[in-house]
Amino acid sequence: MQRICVESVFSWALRGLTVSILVWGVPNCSAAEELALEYVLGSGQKLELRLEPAPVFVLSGGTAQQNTSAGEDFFRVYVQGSGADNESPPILGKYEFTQEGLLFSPRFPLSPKVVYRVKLADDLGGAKSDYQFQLPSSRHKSATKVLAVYPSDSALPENLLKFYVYFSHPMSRGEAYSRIHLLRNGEPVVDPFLELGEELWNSDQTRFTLFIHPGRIKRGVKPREDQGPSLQAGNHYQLQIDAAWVDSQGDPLAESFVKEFEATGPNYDQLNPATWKIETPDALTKTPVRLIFDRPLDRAMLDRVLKVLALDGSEVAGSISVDDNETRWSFTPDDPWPINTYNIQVATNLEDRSGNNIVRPFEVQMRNQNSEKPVPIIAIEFVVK
Amino acid sequence: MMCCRTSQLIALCCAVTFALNSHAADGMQKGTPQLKQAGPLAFAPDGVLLIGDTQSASIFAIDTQDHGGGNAGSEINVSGINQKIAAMIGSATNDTLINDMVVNPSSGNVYLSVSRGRGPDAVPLIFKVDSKGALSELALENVNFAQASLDNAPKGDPARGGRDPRLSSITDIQFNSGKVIVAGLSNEEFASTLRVIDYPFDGRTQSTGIEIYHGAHGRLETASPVRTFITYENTVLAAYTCTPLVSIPVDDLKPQSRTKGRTIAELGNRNTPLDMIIYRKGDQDYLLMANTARGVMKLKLNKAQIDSAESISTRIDGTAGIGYETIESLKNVDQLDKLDDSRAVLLVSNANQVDLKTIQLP
Repeated sequence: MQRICVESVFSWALRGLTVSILVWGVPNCSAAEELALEYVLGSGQKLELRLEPAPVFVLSGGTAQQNTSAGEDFFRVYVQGSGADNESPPILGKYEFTQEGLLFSPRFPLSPKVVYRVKLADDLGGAKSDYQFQLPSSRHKSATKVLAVYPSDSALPENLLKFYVYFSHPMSRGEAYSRIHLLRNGEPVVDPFLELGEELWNSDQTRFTLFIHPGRIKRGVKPREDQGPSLQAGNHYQLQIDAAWVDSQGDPLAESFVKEFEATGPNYDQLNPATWKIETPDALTKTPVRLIFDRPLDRAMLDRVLKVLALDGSEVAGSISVDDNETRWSFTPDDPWPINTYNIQVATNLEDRSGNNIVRPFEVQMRNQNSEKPVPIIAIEFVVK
Repeated sequence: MMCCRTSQLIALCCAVTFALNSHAADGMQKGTPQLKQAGPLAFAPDGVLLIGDTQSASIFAIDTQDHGGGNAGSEINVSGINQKIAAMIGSATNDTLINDMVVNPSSGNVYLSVSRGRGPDAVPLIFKVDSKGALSELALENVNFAQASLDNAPKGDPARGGRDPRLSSITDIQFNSGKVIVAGLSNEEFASTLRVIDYPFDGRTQSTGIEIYHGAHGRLETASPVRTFITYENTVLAAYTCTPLVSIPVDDLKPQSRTKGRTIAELGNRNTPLDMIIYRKGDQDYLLMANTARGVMKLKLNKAQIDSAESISTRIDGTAGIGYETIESLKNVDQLDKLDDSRAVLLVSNANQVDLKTIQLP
């Protein structure tokens, strides 16, 4: 059993004549009040919240062992503060009469952020009918922080398409756009981002994708003509991330984060792999094969859309690293390179920081339209000898 | 519909995988769908609920067994519906997200997709609101369902510690004439993909990338994602993230092809479209669109006009293409759907409270 921290409002509950409080000593309970998993109600009855193996409310003794009535005739469980009493429905769950008493198993796990109120039937419980419970919170070992923001360079093109924000722990969905701000020379930029209710996270919600509003990037469209581009060359910018942004456990970030950068001229050109350089390793070493690009590329896609194949088409096992402000991609094999011919397969949707990829720039002139489906992959051959 | 079902049944007779435990013509099987997220919703015929699940890159089709009856004219109004759902699921209100709302045209009941929690372990739920405003959870255990996977991309290799961080968020779903059309947005590449899936699901998914002309100096846009869309007279009307409204014939959505849409309106500045419905009043069809900046906008629709319109290719001051009016009385509308021929239901958010409201179609 563990101790529970409760809201200070609980102190009035102690006036109940027959209430007893059981306290287990667990440190770090920040609230001054300490409390209660179990209440003696009088008439031999007891109301408790058992935590193991899964939280269950138990009313034992007295009439609770009778099963001639429905469970909800004895007590119901509500979320404290969820609205007017008459309107707020009880939480979903299942009642069961057992030899131990009447058990109520919530349909969903209880949340440590919620105070639960057990309301007893009027003829139960003596002096009062409401009792409050709250689970102990389980917290991270350390507060969540921003690990990195990409692109990593401090000079970014004014037609930059997106940022990636990496966090040390899973974050919460639903407030991203109110927690990120763009400042130009110290003044807020209005509506700079594409705000999507879905919010673009990776599956464990440790990486957030932030698109600059494409209507502020594309030349000639209304948002850009009316408001100007979000980023303008020659200006100093700050991407600010509020410490108040909460992680998946409801705790704020350890500290705010600021990425400072200068906006430079745009890059409207599609990628040209012919300009890339390759550094090939020697046979029987684990020296990485490297691609050096003519410009920084999309940090996330560099982890995903390139792979190394041997001549027979089998994929070489190894690990990828990216450095030099996302201009250098390195692949280190798990085992030394055998003498062979290899190729690096690159998906042609690989983008630079402005959304230009290998088969088209971000903005395509109408006269250059091509109705043929472009090749999805190109191969860059190298020989290890 | 009957002929389609018959041919489907014949096809299924040849498919060993569906021979047992199947829900006959719908290609469904009885069981518990492994839903990881409940996002965009739509209804197929006969009370079959379509649920977009970004986390498992799938569309689930679930037989709600909720058809017949109709709404019989009653208004559905639930004040603080997010708070009531939070109370029922034992969660804090700000940890309860309503992701989408749709009306079951077979019954007039309203369905909501909900996330219990805001972290990666959030629990997906479906709630039903009946004509009296009563809320109940849609049980997903032991139901007839089918699943169509959208993900034809290779996964990261778990043996190398890789977990593919790319997710294609499902931004909208519509059912149209035996096809489920799905719009998505990647969290990495800036790509636009409309996918078309034959319904009932038969294990084949078609993907179509859409190129559209943009209403700006004749420039061609290739990659901007669709934010929300609706079908109208066998045409997809798609609202893009940078504000144009584009028409694309459904017949042009062919697998592994590219097609061009026609920009029929540019809806202007600071406008992120959220949801759309189409309805008829008198002899006129209308499009009603909720968006972040302007509240709710109403456009007159005319199929002949859409088909004959020149795609916008020059800058026009103000709003180009089909004109619209703003419905001043409707603000903060996040979701809307048609309740019947004359009424719509809305989700309206105000601070921490979301209300479900019924209105007369304007």
